[in-house]
Amino acid sequence: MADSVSQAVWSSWTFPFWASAGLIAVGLLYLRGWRKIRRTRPQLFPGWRAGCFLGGLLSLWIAIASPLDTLDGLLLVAHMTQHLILMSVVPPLLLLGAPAVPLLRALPRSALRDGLGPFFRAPLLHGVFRLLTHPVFAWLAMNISYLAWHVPAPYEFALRSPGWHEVEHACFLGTSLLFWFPVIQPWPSVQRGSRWAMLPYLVGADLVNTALAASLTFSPRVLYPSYAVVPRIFGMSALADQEAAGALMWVVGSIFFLVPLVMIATHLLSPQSQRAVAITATAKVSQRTVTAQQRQRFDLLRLPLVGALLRARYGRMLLQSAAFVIAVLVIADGFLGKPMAAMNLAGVLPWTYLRAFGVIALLVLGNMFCMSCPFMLPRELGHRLGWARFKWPRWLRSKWVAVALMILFFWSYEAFAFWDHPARTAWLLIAYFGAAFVVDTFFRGASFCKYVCPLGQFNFAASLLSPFTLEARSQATCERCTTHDCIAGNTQQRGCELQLYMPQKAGNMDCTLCMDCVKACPHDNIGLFAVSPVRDVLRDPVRSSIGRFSTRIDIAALSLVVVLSAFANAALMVAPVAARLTALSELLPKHEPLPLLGFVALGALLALVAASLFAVEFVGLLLSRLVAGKHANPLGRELFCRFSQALLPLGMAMWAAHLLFHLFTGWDTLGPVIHQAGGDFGWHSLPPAHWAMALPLLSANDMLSLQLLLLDAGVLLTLYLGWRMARQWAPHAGRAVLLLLPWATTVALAYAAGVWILLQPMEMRGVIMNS
Amino acid sequence: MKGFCRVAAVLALGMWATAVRGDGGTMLLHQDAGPFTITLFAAPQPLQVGAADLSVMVQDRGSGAVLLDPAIEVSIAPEAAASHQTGQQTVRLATGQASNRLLQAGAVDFSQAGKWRLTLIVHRGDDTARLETECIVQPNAGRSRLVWFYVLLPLGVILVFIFHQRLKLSQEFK
Repeated sequence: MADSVSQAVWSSWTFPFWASAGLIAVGLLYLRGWRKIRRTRPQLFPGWRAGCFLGGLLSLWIAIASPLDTLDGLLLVAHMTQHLILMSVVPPLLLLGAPAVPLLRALPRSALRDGLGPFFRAPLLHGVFRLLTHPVFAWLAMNISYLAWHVPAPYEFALRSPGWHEVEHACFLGTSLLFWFPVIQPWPSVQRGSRWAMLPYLVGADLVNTALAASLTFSPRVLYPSYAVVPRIFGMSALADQEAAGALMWVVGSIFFLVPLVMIATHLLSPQSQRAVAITATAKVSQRTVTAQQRQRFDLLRLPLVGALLRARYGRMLLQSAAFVIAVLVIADGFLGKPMAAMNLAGVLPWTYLRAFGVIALLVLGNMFCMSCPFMLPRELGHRLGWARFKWPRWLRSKWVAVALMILFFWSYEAFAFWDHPARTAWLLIAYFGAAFVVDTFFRGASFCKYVCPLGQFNFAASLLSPFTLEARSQATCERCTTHDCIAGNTQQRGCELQLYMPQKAGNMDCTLCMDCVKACPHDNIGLFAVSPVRDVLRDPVRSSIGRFSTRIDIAALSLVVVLSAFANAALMVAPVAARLTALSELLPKHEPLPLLGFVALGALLALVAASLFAVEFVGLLLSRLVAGKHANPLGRELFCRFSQALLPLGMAMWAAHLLFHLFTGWDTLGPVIHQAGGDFGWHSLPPAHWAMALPLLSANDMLSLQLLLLDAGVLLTLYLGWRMARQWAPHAGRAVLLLLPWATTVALAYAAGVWILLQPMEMRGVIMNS
Repeated sequence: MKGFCRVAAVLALGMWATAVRGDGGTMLLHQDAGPFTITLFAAPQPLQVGAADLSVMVQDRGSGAVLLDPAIEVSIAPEAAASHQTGQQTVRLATGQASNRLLQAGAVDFSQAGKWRLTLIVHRGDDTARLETECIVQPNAGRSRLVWFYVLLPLGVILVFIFHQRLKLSQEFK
């Protein structure tokens, strides 16, 4: 029995998701910065520094995720061990990693210079930092916090309230970081006062610790009443538990103060104390060895495995073939499988999974859908027939056709309820294959991709926010190039079908990430570089085959459709809107099988919603133009074009919040649907579908938090883009604010609408829900 | 600014309080019954409308040793609706549901605010024990606090950004 109890105790680990994710992120950030700075200052940043910092993060994770945390309400000794780790293990280890510079070096240079720079240069913040790290302040902060939280009343309060318990732990960790700062003196901090002062500093802290530990050890009664009433485990009485906790604090706690005390004293008395000076001198020498090579940007194509796959001759074809096979299976199951959408590949795969993964890929990597487009194979087939002699008509060379088709798609999605009718989804895919085949059979280049495909246009607009873009590695190499294979192609490889000439290509608009240019370039001069996700929208250069964004009303309209459809698509799925639509449809006469009038009414309703949103946006722009008056000089068209694109982050955040809800709620539908489809196709080797659903991946509150967080990020990024654009037009800050304000009000209204939509109960389409 | 900071701090703490999944939660009941000593924990505390975690530790009454293998059932019913059984639920607790493996836990859903009756039945071999207690369930404030936090978050970031821009402008001016 005792063994099984011990086993139960040792297996009582938790996984605090957000804290763990945060610690991993900080660890990765530190390692990135540590690797960078190690190139210039290897003596200052040996491996043990990284080991210490990562060890500190690991200790912190152990303190909050191990059985120590699980048992802290039952055993005082467990709780005190947890405090000891938070106060005496984690802070010194983190500070030994000298984290300030590596963490800063890990950030993009522009974020450091423009984002954090003003704060670092502010005298007020310098003063606050100097105060916080002053030895007297740090000593008092740690010891007062330590004593105050161990007084029975606040201690009991923290035990009863999980929120305040976290605050208590944050106090211990925060004040201990301050306390250990003058002791460790992490590089590049400067020593303040004599190093000898650290001896009484540590002795004083040890005396405080000893007094508290002794009061626990020798108290004749249980000081914290909670421990007297909770069930006792391991046969240990509450008083014995308290004595053990006191002894632990006394002995182990003192060791943590006395070991550094001895080390500092030894160091001060030893002649080697000049060693640090030598290290600094060496570091200065190696700093000069920084080369341009080390300042290179992150290039995905240089990565060993991913880069090789992306550049491989048949790499894209492999992805496209896989996507084509999936599309064929979806079509087949749509016609032959169960008519119930939630049990059919055509009801689940495109609408629940692929849309969500597509949006995630756009925001995390880039236009992966176009890269692995299944409609490429019929396009290729059409080209091979050799009938593609016509150029796409000049008057259609814009995004207007695609914008109209996109609106038609969003309307038909609701009107024909594709998500609920697998056969209609299958027909839609067939129509798509047919359109791709017909257009590219008769027209040259990638006319379908560039001017027709609504999915592609959605991806082009959204990919303006993607963090990777294809660019020339060296402009000088492009200037020396005489063959221009990247656009003209050669005998081995065709060039860019979308007419994006690499030296003048700026951003992701119209780029399908086909990698044709990469493979065609004889100088290996094209990379897939990491860029700021706002850069593409913020800049307005003349772009190859596109021109300036500020003159392209069709591209602005495309962006607006992407944004407005995000809100409309989500709104039509929430209960209050769906109920009104149902009530409206009951008023209309029914014509079976297609209630045409209902379709028209739905279309009119959608148009009305979109038009009112558009009107709000337009009024905002008009007001901006009027308010700015002669003090800022954007043309109305420029204002419309660029502010419309600035809305993209908000729109994409809404798309992500909406589609991730469906993905996370029905995340495990695919398994049974595949088994069901296998059965429908007669593949009886697959086990039969088991339709018992698990719970959603996230709890309701966690899901809502994630959705609101995405929307917050979207609105902030949109406002930031708006501000930067306003500053480009109106150099005076006050005028820029006036220019921004009316438009920002419309953004705030859209944000409020988004929050309202996310708070409503949402239909879960195409998924069998847990009862 | 000061007021805003206070509101933000209170909301942040509220968020924390609702986000934390306790190691069993707060003790609701600790009582001897038959051959067992039974302790019932609940989280969140105070209990609110919506999902709640109930955890139970069973010990041998004589030796105090923790017993890991009893079968435990918890029933909840609102006192006001006892006659027509609205909202009544029975949950079989399991070891795997609790982060503290000395406990058995399960989730119940309190559908309304008010007074609820909890009935606990523990079986182990031939031994059975039954305990009853009452608890007060309060209206759920967690969701609205969460929403307010996330709605105010952009405002906080915007304020920091304004401060940042003012600093930048003043530094450029100098």
